[in-house]
Amino acid sequence: MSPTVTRTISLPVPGASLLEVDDLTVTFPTTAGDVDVVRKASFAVQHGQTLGIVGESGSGKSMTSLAIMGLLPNGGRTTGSVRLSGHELVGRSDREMRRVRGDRIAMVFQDPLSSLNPYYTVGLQIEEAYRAHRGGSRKTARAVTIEALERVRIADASRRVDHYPHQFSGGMRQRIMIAMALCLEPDLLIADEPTTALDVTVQAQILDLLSELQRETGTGMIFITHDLAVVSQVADDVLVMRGGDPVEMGSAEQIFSRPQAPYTRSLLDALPRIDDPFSERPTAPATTGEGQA
Amino acid sequence: MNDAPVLLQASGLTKDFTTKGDGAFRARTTQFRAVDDVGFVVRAGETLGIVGESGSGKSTTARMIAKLIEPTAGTITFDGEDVTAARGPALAAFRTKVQVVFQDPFSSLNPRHTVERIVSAPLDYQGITPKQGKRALVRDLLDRVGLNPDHLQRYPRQFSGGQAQRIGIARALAVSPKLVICDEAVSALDVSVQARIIDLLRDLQAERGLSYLFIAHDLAVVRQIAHDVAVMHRGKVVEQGDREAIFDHPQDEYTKTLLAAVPTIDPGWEAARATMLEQERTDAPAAGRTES
Repeated sequence: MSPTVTRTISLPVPGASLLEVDDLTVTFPTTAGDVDVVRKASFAVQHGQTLGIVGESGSGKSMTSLAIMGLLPNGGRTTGSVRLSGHELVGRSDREMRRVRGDRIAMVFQDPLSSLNPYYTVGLQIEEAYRAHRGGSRKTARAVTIEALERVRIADASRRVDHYPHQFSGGMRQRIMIAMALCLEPDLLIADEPTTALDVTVQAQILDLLSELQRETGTGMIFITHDLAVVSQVADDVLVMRGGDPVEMGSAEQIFSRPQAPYTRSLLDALPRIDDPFSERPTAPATTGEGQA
Repeated sequence: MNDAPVLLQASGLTKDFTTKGDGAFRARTTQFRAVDDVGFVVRAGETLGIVGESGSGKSTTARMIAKLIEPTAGTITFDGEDVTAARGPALAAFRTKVQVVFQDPFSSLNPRHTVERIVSAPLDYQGITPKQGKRALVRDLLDRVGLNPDHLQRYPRQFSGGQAQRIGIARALAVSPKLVICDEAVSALDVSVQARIIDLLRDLQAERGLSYLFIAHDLAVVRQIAHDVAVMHRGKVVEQGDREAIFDHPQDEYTKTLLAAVPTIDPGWEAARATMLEQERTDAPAAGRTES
């Protein structure tokens, strides 16, 4: 336990954004030398707002979020600055970051089934996450858990809390992951392709749920996706990434109605339209994607 | 109305899966009807899209059509012949006319085989010797799907996802099939790669008069390629018709729900972008012609 750490990170520096990222660079050592998988990404997230990070495979969008969380795999190094409510996170110890994760920044991943332990009830897993940060009795944790499940609109939450992950559908499991992420009332939620594995009707429900919860709690959100149409619906601001480079950043309206970077334009051109089949889709230029897919 | 000849007709297709209990529950078997009385036609040179969410039975349907699994009931007619129970030489003949492209190119290409061996495998299985020789045919196919013909001796892992899917398409084309079943063939690809694979599939259709049975969960993609669309839900076809009928005037409640759930970009933003691009073209006419 280190109460001072929690306190210093909890008290916001006046005038600071919820999250400010400056020149974030993520480097991995390889036998052929260092490779930057994210190069000088800069952005900010405000309370109650959503930043969408969009890009194709290998664009560095997921590595950006892992770097913010301090969860880079195998020797990955972060340089630049990541400030949460004005407090620098880069360079903090694992122990300090463990207090930040879950408590101040929570994360929801693509595949809820691989994030849940099949041998424990969903209730036990949410309780464990809660008690790891807040302590308290199991009884309190259980009450918080049931309330969290109710908040993500799981019907009959007081009974469902004792069910195992396999007893829930894919969409319900993702609701459980969101409940787990939000039970500690984090300031920032990072959602990494949270609806990619879901059917389109379920995806629509989860997107609605996330925006309702955001309105209720004022949580800031980073929404990472490869899907431009999804990001256009959820994000206030959008960062487009490609091959580790930030390509373009702006309000959602600006990115989608007045894209400046050629790459953003080619991505938008490549997007299949459900409402406009007759306009011939121009072939995406050979410089995009396939070489690194 | 459509007067292209019917290439494939499925009627009353049904598939039951039986699950057996274990141990003390040995006696307990449950029947699950994955596909229930499904019928459709695929016309020569055209594409039938089958859309549905997970568990709708669309992949099971594709596997029955490809004759990878046996239907519990129903008939499949191909080129005027009943192939439902085809065995031996009749089945072999069917396999030269119907080929499949799968979702994950890396798990459907043998990692230990060279591209040449992968693409020519259907020829070997069917005992076909192409006139120009096997290697020349493989080179032609690679060239046609947009790969370097000199990469014959490379292995799948040396290619990107989009390139690997092109290898899968080349393999499907090796026996000059009439029908290619694409089971989520572009679902695993990035959007810019996906667009180019769809373009390739459409070009190949125009050139060779191919028919596609195009299975996908992504309605926007299906709209780009399908002439006719069948919507599946819980094992049944809930609605089918030509593309415009399904997308512009859906009748069935489930189809409407499905279409309404597809995320789209604000039409106002789309219009503004089109206006901006148009403006740029008129402002700088020379810049618009940089690429041929």
